[in-house]
Amino acid sequence: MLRRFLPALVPTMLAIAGFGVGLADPYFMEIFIMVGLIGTVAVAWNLMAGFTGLVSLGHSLFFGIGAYTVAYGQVGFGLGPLATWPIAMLMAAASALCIGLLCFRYGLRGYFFSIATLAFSEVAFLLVSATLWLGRSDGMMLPSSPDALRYLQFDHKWPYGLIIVAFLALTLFLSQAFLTARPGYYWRALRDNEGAAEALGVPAMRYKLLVFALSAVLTALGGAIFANTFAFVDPRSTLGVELSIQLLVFGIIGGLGLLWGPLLGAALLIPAGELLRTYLGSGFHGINIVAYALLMMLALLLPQGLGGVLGARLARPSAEKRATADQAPAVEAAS
Amino acid sequence: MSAPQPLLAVAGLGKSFGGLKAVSDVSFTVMPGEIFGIIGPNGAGKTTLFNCLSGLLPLSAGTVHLDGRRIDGLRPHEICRLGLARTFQIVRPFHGMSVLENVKVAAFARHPASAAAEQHARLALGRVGMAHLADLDAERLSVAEMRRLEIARAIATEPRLLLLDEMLAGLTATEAAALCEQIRRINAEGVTIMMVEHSVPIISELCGNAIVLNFGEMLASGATRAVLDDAQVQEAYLGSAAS
Amino acid sequence: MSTTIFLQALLSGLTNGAIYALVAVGLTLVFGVMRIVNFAHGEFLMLAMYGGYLAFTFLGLDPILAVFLVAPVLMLMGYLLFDGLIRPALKVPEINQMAVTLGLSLLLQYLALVAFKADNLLVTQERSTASIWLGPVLIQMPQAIAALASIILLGLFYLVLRKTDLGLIMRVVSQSRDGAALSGIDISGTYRWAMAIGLGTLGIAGPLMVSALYVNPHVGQLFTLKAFVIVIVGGMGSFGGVLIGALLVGIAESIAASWLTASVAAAVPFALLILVMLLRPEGLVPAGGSR
Repeated sequence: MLRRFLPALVPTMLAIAGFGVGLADPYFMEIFIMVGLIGTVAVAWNLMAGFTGLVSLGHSLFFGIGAYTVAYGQVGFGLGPLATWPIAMLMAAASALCIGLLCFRYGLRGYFFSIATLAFSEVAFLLVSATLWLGRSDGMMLPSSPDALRYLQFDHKWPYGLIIVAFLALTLFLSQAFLTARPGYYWRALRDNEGAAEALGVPAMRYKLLVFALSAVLTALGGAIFANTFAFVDPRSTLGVELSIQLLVFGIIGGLGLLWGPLLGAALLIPAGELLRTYLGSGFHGINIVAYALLMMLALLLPQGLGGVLGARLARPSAEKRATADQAPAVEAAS
Repeated sequence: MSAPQPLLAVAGLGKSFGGLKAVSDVSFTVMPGEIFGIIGPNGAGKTTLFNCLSGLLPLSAGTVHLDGRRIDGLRPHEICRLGLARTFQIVRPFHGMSVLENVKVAAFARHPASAAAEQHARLALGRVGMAHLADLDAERLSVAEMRRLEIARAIATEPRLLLLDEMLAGLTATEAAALCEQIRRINAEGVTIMMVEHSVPIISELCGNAIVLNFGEMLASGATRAVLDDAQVQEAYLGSAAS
Repeated sequence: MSTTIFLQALLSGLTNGAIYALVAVGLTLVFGVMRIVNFAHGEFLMLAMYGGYLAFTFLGLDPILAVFLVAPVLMLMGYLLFDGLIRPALKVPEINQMAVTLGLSLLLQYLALVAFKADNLLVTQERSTASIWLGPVLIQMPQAIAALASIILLGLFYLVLRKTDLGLIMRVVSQSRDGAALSGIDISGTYRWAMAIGLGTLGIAGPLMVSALYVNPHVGQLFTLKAFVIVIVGGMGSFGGVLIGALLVGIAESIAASWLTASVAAAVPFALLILVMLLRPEGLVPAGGSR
């Protein structure tokens, strides 16, 4: 049992440790919050991309659904997270199922699927930017309320950090539970060879929709937490293509084949970006140039990501097994 | 007592790609427990036939009944669940998984729980004599071993009918003999088998009944010996008697 | 909506559509031949536009003449890009390919930001404000020139594809790479040409467009997305489809813009994509062909 959830347990422990550090240093807490939030969303995204081979470039759609449901739920109806979070997750699941049905029914895969998801999120971005009661491009602020606890309004940052630790743990353990059971095997088989998988009894449509819905729900939860944490949502930060690309970047750098790979990517890149911004100022674009050049090189030369390199060291050595097999007779009598 | 029901009944099966008739008007039955052969030169439509039976391709004409139940038009995974499994000519194991994990994917079809699936996956590997290779990275297998993995995967879905698509091609005499032995063993355990093979000696040895396809059409069907002695078949195979 | 407004929108749409077609055709060529989507496609258009601007500002070259300078430069870029980045990218999984071309797209945007700052630049000449009357509707001179050039070039493109050996080879490779390789066709060379021509078309579109449209470092993204929609709507890898797709997108966008707000009108191409996916997922004019 422990071994099965080790890949979820270790990052969670590290996150708790990080939270501890953040309690002492508020600036660290801010970075911790960003890493924990976006990194966890990236983990959810990777269930589809890395494990099932469905690369969504429009995941910000679900993040935005989460964020805006919370924002408008509060502003328009006075609803608190207790109501808006579940609603957001339901809406995300419904959207994922609709989009998924559309895409998979017509066999969209690879680049076609990715571009289609991008199109959906762009439509959402543009429509929200044009909608008055959602704040258009200026966005919406979540107003302070005397009933602070109900609306998750805190004076300090650390309660949000705590919520994010819970979010991280939930996502990691839930994902690992799925990955080590039948869904995980089915997803990996579908990623690799859908025809062979189907011939072995894997219901492709059902499991693709499952991973899409699961990923969307977790992403929307992330968006919801974002709204409550920062008390402000706008199209650019929640529905923009930049967020979707961030998820891809974290995944590639951290390693797509691992549960915690994207989290590693986030943990490396977000603080690095912050540091450089502090020391070099936000007007210095040279940093971005270097960063993306590095990303490209890494994507080409190290397809398994930095986490993959790490993971290879920890994986079981199959070299010895090969040596044993070489000596086994060509025909072995079965039982 | 009524006559035994065929396990597989194919009637008037046809498959066209645009104007090209890959398979036309093929009809035959396979009885439970037998090993049935499908012979024909390259391009005769044998793999297309398998693709139609397993649901990968929709039929252009005809019907397919598995144990009395119509299966043409169903999705491949539904057909698998109903008891028809197949192997692919070009064997590619699932990437990044061990031999055992590859078979486990298939075992999940009958055993949703991870532990049970793993147990049955090991059993399936044992039946093809590969239990000792369970933890090996599947992509490091030899060709013969990959063929056996392919069969293990298929039998892990606990089929009643197993379609083998040229599993013996390119193997050495020893490897082929071993594989034939394994196939016989699986058949003895209760799995009906249909095999596509080029090698006439192997078909004669293993298969009780067979059909011959040429240019998508069925030249002959019936007892293997009779089929092989058929004049039309001899003519089609002139100069390529044994491969 | 009055007839005149409708006709005006229609004309604008057709004009824009012709230009979009020229932008999208390079993308579909690269995908059709190499099966890779260049997410940085729009950024090369952006560079070509800057090229046209610079040629005008520093060399006093009319944009039409600037084309003869910028297009070869873009072709060279395509050539180098293939060997430097695309060729190695063809060996890695699709998701990594996406990361590579997306990374390139962002890299180029930031390079442009550093080199040119974020200002909107435009080539203004005497004829920039001139317009031609076509019955009750008006067309601006720069747009007219760009559209006309597009049509001529698309025609040339079609001739190259259909009548030349290179075109035949590219069509063969896009239908079946393995078959082509077995026939002794130099696959790498063909890919290189496809990339060079794919970006070369941008070298023609760029200078002409910068006299009609502002250029800034982020203008490429808009075009890449639009080009995607066009290519999928028309059918990936299909030349005729690109034309139809581009005209449809141009017209839909234009009519929507005269009817709805700008933001909503911008969503129209994507809505069109979703509609096409619902009704005719293989695209309007699918090219077909397998690996």
